[in-house]
Amino acid sequence: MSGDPGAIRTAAAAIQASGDGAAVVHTNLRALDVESWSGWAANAFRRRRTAIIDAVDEQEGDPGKAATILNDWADQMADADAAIEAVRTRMRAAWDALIALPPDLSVLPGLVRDQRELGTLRFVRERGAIHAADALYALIAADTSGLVGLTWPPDGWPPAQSLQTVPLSPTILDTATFDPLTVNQGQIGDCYLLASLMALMQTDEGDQLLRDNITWDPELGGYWVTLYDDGDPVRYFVDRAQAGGARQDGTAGIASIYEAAMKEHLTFADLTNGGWPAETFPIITGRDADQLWHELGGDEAWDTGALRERLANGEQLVASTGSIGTDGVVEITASRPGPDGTLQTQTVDLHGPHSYAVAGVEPDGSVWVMNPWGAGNGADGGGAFLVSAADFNLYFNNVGSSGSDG
Amino acid sequence: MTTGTIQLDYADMQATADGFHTAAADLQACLLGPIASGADVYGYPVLAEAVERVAEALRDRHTAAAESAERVGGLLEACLWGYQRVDEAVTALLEARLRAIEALSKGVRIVNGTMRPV
Repeated sequence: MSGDPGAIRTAAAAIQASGDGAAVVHTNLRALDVESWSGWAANAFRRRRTAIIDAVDEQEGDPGKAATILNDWADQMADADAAIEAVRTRMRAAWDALIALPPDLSVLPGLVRDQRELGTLRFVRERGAIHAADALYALIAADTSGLVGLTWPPDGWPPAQSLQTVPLSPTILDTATFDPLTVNQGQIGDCYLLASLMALMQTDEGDQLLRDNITWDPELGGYWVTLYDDGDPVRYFVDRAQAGGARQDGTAGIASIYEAAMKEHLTFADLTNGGWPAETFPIITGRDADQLWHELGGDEAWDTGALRERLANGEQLVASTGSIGTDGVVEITASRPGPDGTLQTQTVDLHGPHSYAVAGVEPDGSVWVMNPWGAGNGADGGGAFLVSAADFNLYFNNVGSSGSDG
Repeated sequence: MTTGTIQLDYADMQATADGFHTAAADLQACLLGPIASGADVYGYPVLAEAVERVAEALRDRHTAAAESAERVGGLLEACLWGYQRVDEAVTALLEARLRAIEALSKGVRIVNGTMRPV
């Protein structure tokens, strides 16, 4: 296997030493007494000094983090190589037994097992290198010093949030909740995806579909997720969740796994750039989806009777607002059940463009929606709330349907 | 010297400028040098490239911090030089005024900058 843990540790030490040197400079700069200076120029000078100290501070911290990443990788590589060498030793002994006269065929099953284990160890080793590379890029992408206009790569650094990930628990499928109200979107612009997942989580069939398309791989320590490209299944291996991404009840769950797989399918830039539920449902379900449009401010109202009919036929719906208000938010009077179960009016903020899972449509045309921002969010507090038919016509311009088997 | 509300201490300014020059030199001294490179060291090309990019970015940032510290030191010295020239000019003005007052008290007057007996 290629790689040299000793050389990596030497490089890590050199990077660490550079950071340690910056730490001394940091202390010296902070010791310069300019606090007694007064006047406009003194204020400007103090701001400049603070900026330099902050930059040096960052320069002091990041090499240390880079060194830690490399040292961890060196340890991981050494462990993996030792394990691989142990398997190879066993395999060489088994081959010797096989080609001996008379051949010892009893070693064959072990040889097959070892061959498989060798493949797994190689895979895990490579994943470790990829995670270490992501962590290194995240370090620089998160640079806020503003001192250097970093120009590599030509398209700019990938956003730090695309690279910062956390491990996924191996027990998610055992402990997972499929309650749509537990979903919380996080910092990624994928409301369309999470609202679509929430819509599917409203039925047992939807839960089963989401569960069936995820498989835990104990050997590789991650999940295989089946998505669909033009109806054809595509499998993605996922062993990390986005650090600032979707959570359920505060932990990485089913939604996090799908979000990570969608990142592989779409790339992070497309994932976080918004999207349409009608284009998302087919990727999750492999089935055709429908899309309905409504002109905001137009003469025609939504045909909410047709939406009710779709829900009755087993379709799941996601409704999306258009560009609303002067800053993407309007205050509306909505309804939701109070403590005694009766509907009570409440003022909530509706955001747009934003996707909401549809939980029901009333005969009067009012629509129950759920915000993927989750419980306790600052806009509507979470939970399903009822948008009047008038407000639904005013602010929602798109409804995506999962298709009839959703 | 006191001018308006600004109080300057030349020794303090020079010491601060020296402090920034020293910081710049110290930063240059601990700039990350060449480190091991290549897939044969890091195991995989993707990680080897990441290490190179990160080392390059750390160096750029490091150099920018050093240059910035050096510029602040230079700026302080330029200010110091400017203040000293103003100080000298004001002192010269005060001395000239003093001479004029002395001359007047001795019975001379100043016409177009030239003292004449009266």
